[in-house]
Amino acid sequence: AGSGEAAESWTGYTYLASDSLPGSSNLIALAETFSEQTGGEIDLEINLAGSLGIKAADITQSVGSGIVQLAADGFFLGAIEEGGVLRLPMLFTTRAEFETGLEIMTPYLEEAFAEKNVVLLAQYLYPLQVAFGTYPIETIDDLKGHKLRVSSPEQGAFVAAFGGSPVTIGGAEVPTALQTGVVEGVFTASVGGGRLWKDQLASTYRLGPNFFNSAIIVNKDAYEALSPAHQTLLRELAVDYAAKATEENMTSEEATTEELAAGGMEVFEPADGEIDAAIETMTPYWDEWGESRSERTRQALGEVKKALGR
Amino acid sequence: MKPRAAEAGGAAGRGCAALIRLTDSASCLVLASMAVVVCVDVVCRYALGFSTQIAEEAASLGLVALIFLSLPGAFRDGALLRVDAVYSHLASGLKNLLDVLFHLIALAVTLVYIVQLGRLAAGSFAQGIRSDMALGTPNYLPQAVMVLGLVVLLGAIVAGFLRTLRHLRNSPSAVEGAAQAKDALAK
Amino acid sequence: MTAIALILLAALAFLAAGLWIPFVIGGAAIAVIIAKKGLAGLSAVGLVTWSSANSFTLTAIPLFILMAEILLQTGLASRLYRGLAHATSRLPGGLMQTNIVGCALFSAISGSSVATAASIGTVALPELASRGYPMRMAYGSLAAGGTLGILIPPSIALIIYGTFTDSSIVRLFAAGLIPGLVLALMFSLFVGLFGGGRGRQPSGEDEDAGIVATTIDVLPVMALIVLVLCSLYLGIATPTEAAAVGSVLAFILAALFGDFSWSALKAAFHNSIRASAAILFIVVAAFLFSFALAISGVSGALTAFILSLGLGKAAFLASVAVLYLILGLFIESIAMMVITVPLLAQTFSLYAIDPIWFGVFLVILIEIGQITPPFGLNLFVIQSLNKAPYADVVLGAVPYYAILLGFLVLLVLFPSLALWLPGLIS
Ligand code: NA
Ligand code: NA
Repeated sequence: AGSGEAAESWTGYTYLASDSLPGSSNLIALAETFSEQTGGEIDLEINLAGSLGIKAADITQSVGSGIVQLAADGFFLGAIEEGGVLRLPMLFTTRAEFETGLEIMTPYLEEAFAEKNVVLLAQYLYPLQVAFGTYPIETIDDLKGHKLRVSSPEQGAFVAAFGGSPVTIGGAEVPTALQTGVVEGVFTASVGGGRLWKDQLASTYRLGPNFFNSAIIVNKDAYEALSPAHQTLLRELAVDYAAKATEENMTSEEATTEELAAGGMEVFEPADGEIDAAIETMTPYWDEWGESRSERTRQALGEVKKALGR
Repeated sequence: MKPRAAEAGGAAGRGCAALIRLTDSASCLVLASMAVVVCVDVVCRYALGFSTQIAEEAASLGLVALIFLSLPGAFRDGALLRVDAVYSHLASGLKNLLDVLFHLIALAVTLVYIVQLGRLAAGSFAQGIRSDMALGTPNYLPQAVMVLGLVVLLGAIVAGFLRTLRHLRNSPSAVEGAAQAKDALAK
Repeated sequence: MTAIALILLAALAFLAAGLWIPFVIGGAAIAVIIAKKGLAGLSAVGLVTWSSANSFTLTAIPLFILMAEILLQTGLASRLYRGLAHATSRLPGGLMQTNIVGCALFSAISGSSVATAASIGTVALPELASRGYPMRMAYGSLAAGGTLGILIPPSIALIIYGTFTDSSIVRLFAAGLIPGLVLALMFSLFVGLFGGGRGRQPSGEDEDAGIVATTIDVLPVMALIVLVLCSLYLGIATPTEAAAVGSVLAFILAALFGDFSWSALKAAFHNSIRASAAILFIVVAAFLFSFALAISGVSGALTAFILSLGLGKAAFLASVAVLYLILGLFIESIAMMVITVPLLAQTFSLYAIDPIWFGVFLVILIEIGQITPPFGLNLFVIQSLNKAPYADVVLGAVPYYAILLGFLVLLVLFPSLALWLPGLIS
């Protein structure tokens, strides 16, 4: 700040609790680059989950009301119901399908975020959230009669559809819950919970309900107060950060799964026809889910289904 | 002057007492429901092989209601914690003066909470923000309960404030207390 | 920064003068936010308060309080004491042993030190007085025994610690168990050696009512302890759920074996909501306070300061201990923990500190704070139960500071005291 004016301080936040994950390390790098390249005009500091006393589900509102200026937000479904389309179980089974859906959904998400006084800058992705169990899960039928940890009602519907009983518990309790048998399985990726809880997990079955996308969002007033050049800079940095985080998540998934297998975890690929059968089982649920949603959400869901031929 | 303040204080106290009976009963009911909802889920999961999927959400919202509905009664009954090692050794006049100050601070803090939680609830309502869990409870409902509890708390603080004012006027040692306060400040 | 330092100093002054603690913490948070972000920043007050109160983990606090209150109000807690008195009164130290064993057992169903000291103290003090025990010793054993309430699981302090550091509550509970039992043993050795004999038997008491009576008196509470532990470690319930299961079981056991009445139930609920409000309002205000410290840069500056000191791990732990011992003289334990833990948590990775172990370390420091004057919650409880002279209660507790400090050193030298059991379950 050559003028001697004090830097405006921006509060940044992520729902991730560790600074070493692709989603957080790249966000911290973004903050440093942005603070630097605005010539000290903006001082953006990233706070990790928990440090601000804001729950993951309240991040969207905290950005909208300007308590936080910039955030990585993966749990926006209570504020942005349109986002639920991208989490519907078995609607997307490959990364290509998910990216088709993401492209269709992005304008809807941008509009919904804008109504909350929030600008959606970019999104980064996690691999398919697949089944991991304390017991061998070889086929989809092995979910039947078992207690499985779910992180959304949509995952709950998936588990229930295959005869399991969905259980919601906080992330910190998962390892002991797996150990004591409160839950017997989880849905996550090898790079996420798979690696973290490998000591309690015996198998992974590479079929799962949904991908997971995180939004990089900024408070609208704060964004519009930036000079056009800085707005462009921030957007470019966010897109770049999202691409890096996505690639790091996706590329290390396969290697990590191999590592887990080498460490003794059984890895089962779904047999021919199992994915199609699972899609068929979940198909009625998609429209059922849409029924209690807004007209706009139903329209978005229709477009996605049409594009995927489902 | 004196009788009118006493009357106002008395009326405020009585009105408050009635409201606190309500918020207290509601808190107890909420606490019992929390125990039951969670227990039912545990039993269903363990013995019957399915989960109600609402226990976590319902119990958490219950906690929100419990904290804020039980505050007014806790304040009135002196259950809120304080460090009284110094306070309890002060002369009654000085104590009265401090009480007036403490009630004013509590009043100000509570007002900020009410205004901000009120704004939050209004925002949640306008934006249609709800829980992302199975019940999908609109956030403004529990947030409005928080405001409700805090408004009754405000009433309890005001009633306490009027009572301390009355003490201050009636206390022959008020003047002495003020002098003592001046001394303390001088040191 | 100057403005913020002044705010924090003013807050300390108000705390010492006797302003209600949640208003001290909430008021300071509001002032810091205004100083840093202006009035517009205050919208955080609403969101952070909502976000921190809407917590499933914290639901365990009122439910564990309720469980203990039901036992207390329906007389099951006092029957536990009488039953234990039969069993332990022949040991060296006599009824003093009953105080320690009773506190340790009650700790297994109560998450709070105050509740433990109050529950056992209510029953014990009249018995001890009628049998001519040295009362100063009695006060000390009850005040100190009560502090086991937050070490032996369940523990409100560990739940709150786990909430702020996002650690597993089950592992924290497991970590507290062996230290709690070892401490109980050390307390018990102390009263055995220096407890001042067995006191007189009041005339007309049948010592040989013996085993049957003991069993019947102790059974309901023991059953509850076993059932709650089973639900936790046999994969039936998470710790949060165990609190709900425990309070419903307590209700059933009280209905079967206790002096169950509408008025006892009402008193249990009434006391539970009072105690919950007192604790949870502080917790919620503290979340706002730590938000304010984080956005004002104080948290970062403080961590940087600790870093710049270049302390080794031992020196760091010693400074934490000294800080807590000093703060513990004046400040209520939960308030002390909620203000400092978010800051301390940032140093864990720096010093390779296991968050689970550190939780137990902090709890023992808090226990010391609860029995050191001038502000010692357990001292107040025991004093108010018997209208005893405060000085007598304080003096009675003095030997236990030494025991607790000695144990703290043991815990640093042998971390596996805390970490062995949680290691088994994960
Ligand atoms: Na305990
Ligand atoms: Na103390």
